Amino acid sequence: MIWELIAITALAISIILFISTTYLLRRVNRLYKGLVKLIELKPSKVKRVRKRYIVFAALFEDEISINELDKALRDVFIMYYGVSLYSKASPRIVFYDERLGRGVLRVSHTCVDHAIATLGLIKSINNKRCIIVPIRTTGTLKKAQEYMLKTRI
Amino acid sequence: MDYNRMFITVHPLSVETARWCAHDSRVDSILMTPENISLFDKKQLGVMKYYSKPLEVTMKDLLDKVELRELIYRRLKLYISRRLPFILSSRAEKWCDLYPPLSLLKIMLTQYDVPDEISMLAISNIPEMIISRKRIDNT
Repeated sequence: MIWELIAITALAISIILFISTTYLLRRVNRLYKGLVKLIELKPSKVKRVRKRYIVFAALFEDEISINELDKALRDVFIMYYGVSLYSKASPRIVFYDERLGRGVLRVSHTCVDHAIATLGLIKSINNKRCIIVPIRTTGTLKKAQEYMLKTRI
Repeated sequence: MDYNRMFITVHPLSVETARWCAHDSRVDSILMTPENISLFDKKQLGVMKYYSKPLEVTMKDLLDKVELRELIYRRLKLYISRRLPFILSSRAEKWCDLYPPLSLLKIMLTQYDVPDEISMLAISNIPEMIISRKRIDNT
């Protein structure tokens, strides 16, 4: 009789301990997740704006000049992302081969995604239909020019 | 009509049709456009999730209709948060209407806050799964 009582008590204690431990673990997990979120929410300090070079290829009906492409890029960027982001991104076409239809776009590293999206959104330049395909993003102009000559679409 | 060898997308214009499409096995995806966006509520989402029916949205609708962006954004976020599969199509009529895949991912990220991984699934894996399941060939 005594042993049965002890066994039941031990079982009850173990169940209580199990429940309390799981509850505690859940609390700790929630706290941990909150801490992680807080750390992630901390604004990142961009010390210096670095440049990125996006290699692109233009598929077009008629040949497009660098000025036309630059204007179209500016118009589309401002239309979708606004003037403030355009000034932050400061996209510039540093190199463009009109015959090959390949070029390099320079943009600040914080707005690479926006620049790539903008390239895809350009559908016509001066009523000439075209698609601009981003090929590769690099950190130096030298490597960008290498990829420009090397890559085939 | 051989439903087993065709990719069938339905554009429902009434609630009944939308519900019916969600549980019809012949239908592969349900198209969401500005005309029928009001049909895609939580109930429709529930039915589509139960029958794992993908939602299809076109880039033309996502980018052209500025006044409907808010509605599309909220629906997309709801559907993605519930992990419902969705398909991104271009609705291209001319070659210049096509989008480069990388740009497509970045457009979805910057304009609709859809992560790259989900957009990638929407343009590659989910359509590919349906095509391979139905054994659709080009002929």
